[in-house]
Amino acid sequence: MQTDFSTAVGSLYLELVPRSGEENMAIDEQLLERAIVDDQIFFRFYRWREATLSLGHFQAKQGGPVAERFANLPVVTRLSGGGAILHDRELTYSLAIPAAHPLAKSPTSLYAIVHTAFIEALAEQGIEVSMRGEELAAQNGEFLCFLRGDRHDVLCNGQKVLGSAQRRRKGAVLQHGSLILEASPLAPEVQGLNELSGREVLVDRLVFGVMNRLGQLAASWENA
Amino acid sequence: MDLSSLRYSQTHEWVHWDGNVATVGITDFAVSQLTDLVYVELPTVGSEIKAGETCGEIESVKAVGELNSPLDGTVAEVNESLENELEKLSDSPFEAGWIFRLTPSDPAQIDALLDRAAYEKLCDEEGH
Repeated sequence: MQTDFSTAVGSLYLELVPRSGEENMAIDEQLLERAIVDDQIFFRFYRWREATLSLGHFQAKQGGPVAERFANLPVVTRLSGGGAILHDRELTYSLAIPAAHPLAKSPTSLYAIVHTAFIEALAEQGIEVSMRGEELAAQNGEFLCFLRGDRHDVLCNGQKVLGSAQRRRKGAVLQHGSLILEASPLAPEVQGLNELSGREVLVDRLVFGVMNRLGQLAASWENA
Repeated sequence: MDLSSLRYSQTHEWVHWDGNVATVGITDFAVSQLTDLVYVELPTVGSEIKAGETCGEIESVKAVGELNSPLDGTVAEVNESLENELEKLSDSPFEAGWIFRLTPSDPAQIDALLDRAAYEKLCDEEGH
């Protein structure tokens, strides 16, 4: 059935041009604000102009690994919590859900919904990934997000390849997350999906598959 | 704490009004939505805040939630012990886990907040 998303979905898109970290973070915040004001869902896939470190909202911008290992990289602070992410050879998404949407009422279920869309879309390419399913809280002191553990993380051969975090404002939710496609030379301890699966991810097909599933989510809300 | 004596905001803050000072915290429902808490950024004592506006932040392992003021007023006191004993928010959200106290500029705003029955209905609608 053909569905008109125009009233429920502000936009659902892939950005072809990589942006700076500051631009990417500013756009994510704008989407959260527009979800609050316009009562619409926004979803974007995006990339980064250069390797950039994004820190969780309360992570220290000075000192530690930021000053030592990653001293030459641009650094931005996300609105969301969680650990640092090195955005290099990865794909980032963000999703803003208005307060009126049922999923904004149980924000933790959003992790599972979006990650399931990724799992199913990757399965279409024959790449098997799954959700961790059990909490490994002891790892949450790690600086890098991809060395931490949460039950909603998506794993390939036991290694985390997709993680997400949230910001909640006036009942609305911004969730963004990162899928590591290949290990970065700057953080080789975090392997990507290509190495772990032994396949090369077809990114356009993945994006289409995830958007298709999340579009249905918006449509089911509109028709409810 | 008698929960029926409190008033509640749509964004899950509670208010206890003693006739002079309003004590504000977040409800057990809000704590359960955030899961494992790791950090709280408290409002600034002496700052003037407006109803519905952000005056602090609460971080859990994966999410940052904003603390909204339920009332217009001036921040009189903050619960500094939370900075080192964040478990008070989850163990005792309505008593030891209070977050700040404010002197309301318009106490009549308290009447416009939700009573316990209306707040329970809100939580039921949100699936719990």
